[in-house]
Amino acid sequence: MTSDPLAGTILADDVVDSSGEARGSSGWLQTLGFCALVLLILQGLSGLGLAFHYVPSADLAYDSIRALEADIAGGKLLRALHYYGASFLIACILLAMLRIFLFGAYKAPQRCAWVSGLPLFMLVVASGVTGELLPWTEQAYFATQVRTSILAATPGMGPDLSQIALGGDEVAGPSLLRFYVLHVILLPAGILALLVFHLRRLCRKGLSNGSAGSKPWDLRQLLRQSLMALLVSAGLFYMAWAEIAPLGAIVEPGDTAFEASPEWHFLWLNQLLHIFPGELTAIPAFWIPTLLLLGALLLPFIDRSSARGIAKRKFVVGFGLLILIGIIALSLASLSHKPENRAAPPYELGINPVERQGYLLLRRHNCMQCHKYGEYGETDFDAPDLDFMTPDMSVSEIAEIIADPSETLGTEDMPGYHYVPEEDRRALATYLIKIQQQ
Amino acid sequence: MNDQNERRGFLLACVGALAAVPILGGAFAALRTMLSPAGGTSEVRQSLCKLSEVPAEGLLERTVSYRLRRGPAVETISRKVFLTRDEGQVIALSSRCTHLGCAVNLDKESTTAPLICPCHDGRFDAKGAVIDGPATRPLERLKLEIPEEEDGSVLLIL
Repeated sequence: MTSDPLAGTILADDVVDSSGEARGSSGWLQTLGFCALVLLILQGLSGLGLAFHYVPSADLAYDSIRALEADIAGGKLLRALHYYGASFLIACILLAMLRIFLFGAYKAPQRCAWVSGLPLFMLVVASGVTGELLPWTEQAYFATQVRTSILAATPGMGPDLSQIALGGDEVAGPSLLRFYVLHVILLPAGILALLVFHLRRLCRKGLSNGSAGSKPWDLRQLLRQSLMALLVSAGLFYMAWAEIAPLGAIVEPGDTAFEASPEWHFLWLNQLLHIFPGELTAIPAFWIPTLLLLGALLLPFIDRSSARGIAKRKFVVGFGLLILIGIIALSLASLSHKPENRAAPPYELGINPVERQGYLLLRRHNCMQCHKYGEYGETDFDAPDLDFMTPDMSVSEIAEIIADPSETLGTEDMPGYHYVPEEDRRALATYLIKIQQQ
Repeated sequence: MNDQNERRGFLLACVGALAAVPILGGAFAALRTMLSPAGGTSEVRQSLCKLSEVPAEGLLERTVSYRLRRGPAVETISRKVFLTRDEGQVIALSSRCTHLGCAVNLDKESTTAPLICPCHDGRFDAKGAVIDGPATRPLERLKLEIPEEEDGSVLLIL
């Protein structure tokens, strides 16, 4: 293979494109990968902390997180670290990839590092997707519904894949367990295996730097990396401490007032789904992401020249930047649509099962379309606030009123809910009595 | 010599890739069987409203909920349906958007496209047909049992 003569051109190349000193494995931009590694370890640790409290069942998942935040000192911080840590990690990897792309650092001898890094990134993204369902909130439910529909658009085996992922035709209890297994066992195992391979490659061949022949580890770079990782982690800790991770209300599929919004790194994909008509859903859902990924994976084999400077790789860099600009433009366009959410209030932790059922029914039958409940619900209607209604009525009386308001109260403003089974109306009444403010 | 070795390696890789196809296919089929829940579909009948309540124009919104065993747990499934009449025939539209499965909402102010999917701005008319947005198929019509008398209950069969 070619060796010595080319090494010379690589160095010459670097001198040309860098302003001042030759670009090596050292520099502030070369610390991004290390930061990603530190963030990944932090995700593992905070995830382990959460695993001590989380119960992966549709009945208890949401409450287990509420309890963690309510009862455990630092519980809120722990979840916020894991929640924001995911975004930090993905942002860090994306920036590192951008650096590697611009500097041509995916070329031999770091080809293997690039090729193993991409699937590693995909597994990290998949961890985010599976982790999002675990709190069992309405955001989790509807976002997962959309994502598995995207999966179902995969040509050929799409519906099968979606069914395997969900354990049924729709998001329900079995889906939660499957996502949990993926999130805490399969994906971390895959990440660990790929990471070992990725790091061994990097250590043997030197960091994916712009030049050959530089020392893989030097003290100044080690200091830079440590300082940068410390700064990024401090940023994450500050964010997690200052801003509670949003949780929202528990899943209630009948409550359709909520509109899920995608994570920031999926905005562009969401906008594409918006643009393409339904019969072509496979294009944004499968073909575009797959081709992008394949293109990135094959990049070191397509761009085989030894030139690393941007000036000598105009076509490749130009094409890559065009895609990047497209993705950013799509993401910005997607931001123009702001979901108007009538978020449901949470229920008090520790209420009994009948009251909890009543709470869910309150949302299932859209009571808050007309009645206000605390700070939540519509206000255009004259309907009384749910927590300030007649305090001394029995469960049966309230259940009767819900069934037929015109008969019992003489009002035509509220429709009758006689079609709701009596057991459910009684549960609703029980919850209403529970929440009355004196 | 070196060239020949490379060619042999390439051929081996090709053969390996070809062999991987049936192996992966078999593994996928096995996985699908093992991971798919057994399809024991129990029929559920839910009363939605009286026949006389179904409007000829406009939509009547109802939430059905029923209990279903899923694995070890009995879960309450709830979903919205919209009732109306199409050429006199009572129909119930599923609230599940045919694009990506988001929940369709009822906009009482709109008469031309009262059913809106917030995810990607899909719009449907009161009979479930697509008016606008990325969806291509009309909303699914659910199976009903319609009574003889006007004050009999319309039953949803799931």
